[in-house]
Amino acid sequence: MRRTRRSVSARRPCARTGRRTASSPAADPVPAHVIECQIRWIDMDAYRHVNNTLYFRYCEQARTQMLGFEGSAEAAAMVLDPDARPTDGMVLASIDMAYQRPLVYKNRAVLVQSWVTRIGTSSVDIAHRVVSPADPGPGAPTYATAATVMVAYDKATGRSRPFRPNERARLVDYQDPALSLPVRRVGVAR
Amino acid sequence: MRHLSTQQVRWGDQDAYQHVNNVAYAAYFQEARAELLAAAGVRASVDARGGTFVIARLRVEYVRSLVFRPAPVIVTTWIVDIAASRITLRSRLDDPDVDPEDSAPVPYARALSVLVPFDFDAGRPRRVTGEEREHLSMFLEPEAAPD
Repeated sequence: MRRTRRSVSARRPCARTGRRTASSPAADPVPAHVIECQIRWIDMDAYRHVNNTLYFRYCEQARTQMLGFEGSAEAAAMVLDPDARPTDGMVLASIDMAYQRPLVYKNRAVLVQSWVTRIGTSSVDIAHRVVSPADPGPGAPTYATAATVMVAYDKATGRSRPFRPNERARLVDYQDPALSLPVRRVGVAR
Repeated sequence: MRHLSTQQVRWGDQDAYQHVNNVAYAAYFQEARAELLAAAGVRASVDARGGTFVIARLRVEYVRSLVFRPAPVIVTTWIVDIAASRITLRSRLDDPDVDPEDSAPVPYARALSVLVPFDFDAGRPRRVTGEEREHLSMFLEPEAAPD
């Protein structure tokens, strides 16, 4: 159903753990892209749980690897796009994080599952689910879910740019109609 | 009344894109919320029995790119809803010389936060106390149709 990705070596603090296994049921709505993120002791705050900003960081790392940013393990494994330019980038336009359970250092690590929920001309919606490595299934305890909007960006001009065909093909590969939006949309105007 | 918080942009808040990283914005909004709670007389200390809030939802819209500069940024935060067991706040991040009451200037970012009062002894959410409601009302600016 999905193309197979080359395995990549483990990286710290966030290591790639590969795609879902063949043993998953066909209707199993587990997102295709997953990374394992190590929880550092300093990620906890004075409330003795992982600070809310770190959930942003874990999801950022997932997007970085998923989108194949320069220097990432996925970028190294990617087929080079002849149309790619050094000034091509992606920036975060919005993020909506729903915190559901506290994380603590004893959790050691989380899995960040990611999938594409919309592809526009120059922007893409990416959803995340933060779950335990011990139980990454569809009914797994979820620590947080997030909906993000990423914009294709030209680092030289600071302006948005349309996706290249090869980029779009990669994003399509991460779409999954079986997966719903992780959080109800709310506006932030004002 | 809206709460104003001055936040210093640190050089290290920037990432390899040479602009302030998205997570730093979340930290600025967090500091502003903690200051607002303190200014309202609601202690954010974990020792303050019944005075602690945890975040249940944070939505940030990144509007303009922010780069390191000596001048601080201003986070304006106000409460749009105080429900039985959650409070909803809006925030915006601007240059110091911007009138935060004036919605015309384009902010660097906007945020919507939902805080839930939490009983750390019991390990579960609790209700907003009458005293908290009274104190927090100084920053309450209800909306016609809160999100």
